[in-house]
Amino acid sequence: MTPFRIYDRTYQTRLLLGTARYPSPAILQQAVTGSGAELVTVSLRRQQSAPESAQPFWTLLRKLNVDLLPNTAGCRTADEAFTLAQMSRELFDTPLIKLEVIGDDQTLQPDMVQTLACARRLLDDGFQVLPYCTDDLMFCRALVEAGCEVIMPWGAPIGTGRGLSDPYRLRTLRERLPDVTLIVDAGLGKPSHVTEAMELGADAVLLNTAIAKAHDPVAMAQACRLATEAGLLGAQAGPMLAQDHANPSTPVLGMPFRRTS
Amino acid sequence: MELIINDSPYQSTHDILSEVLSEWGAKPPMTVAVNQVFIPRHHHSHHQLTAGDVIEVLTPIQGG
Repeated sequence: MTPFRIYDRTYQTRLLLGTARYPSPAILQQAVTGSGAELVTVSLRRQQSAPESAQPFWTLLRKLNVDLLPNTAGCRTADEAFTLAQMSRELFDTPLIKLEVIGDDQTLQPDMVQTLACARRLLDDGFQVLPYCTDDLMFCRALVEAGCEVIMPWGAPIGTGRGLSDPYRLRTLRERLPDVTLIVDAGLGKPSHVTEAMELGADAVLLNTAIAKAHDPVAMAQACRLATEAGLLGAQAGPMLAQDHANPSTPVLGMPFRRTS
Repeated sequence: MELIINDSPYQSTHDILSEVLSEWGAKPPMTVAVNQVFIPRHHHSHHQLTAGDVIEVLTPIQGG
């Protein structure tokens, strides 16, 4: 696999993995290994009265030996996301931040006005911002012009597993923003969705629920990694143009049993 | 002094952030904000609290 860039880092595996909702820490660990993910998402929440409960996850993260991508999941304003990003940078010791500012409780659609405002503040503060965004070309372009070297448009609402809602808009993003690292985040449910995203030009995908909630998360992690490879290779190979009419692949010339004259 | 720590009222005899955190039982790995402003770790030992301050003590969890 050819490597791809996230700011000053390069990665081989085109699959970023979320760490939530797995049946057990052991299966999470195996899924990370099976996926080949080199970058995994993490988050912050209030420490409980028994803070030792956080220790096993912290220990597991260190054992995984992968880069961490903290998120601002659940934030509803630029101010909340900015503070949470600063806290994440201290605790996880990374300038990377997956910026999420949610605008709608039902669809978990990102609020792009708040996302853009927060991205500008974070970039000014030295963060390397990976904004979770819609597939709106104007907002995505504004994020890139603000300095985001990565955008992460949704494929479908978070956790739905529906696959790409609008491949045309994602393909348009790819065509109009050819130099930005484009990671399809959210809504993918199975390997064929992953392949489709890669075929239309994504540099990578970010998966969580598709793997964590599969019957066999470790096998699904492997399948989705292979799907990124298939999709990328397919895109690089240059697919044929679809036709409206059938066209026999076996030559017609020399067909027996028929009189042509 | 009446404070709010992680959404619950908390009475403390201290007014320095690091002392309150220790008394409350906060343990690393953690990161802290007061009144929705991030307080870097190296400021904890001299950050003066006032009554009514809202403290968030956060710790790593799984995320998507």
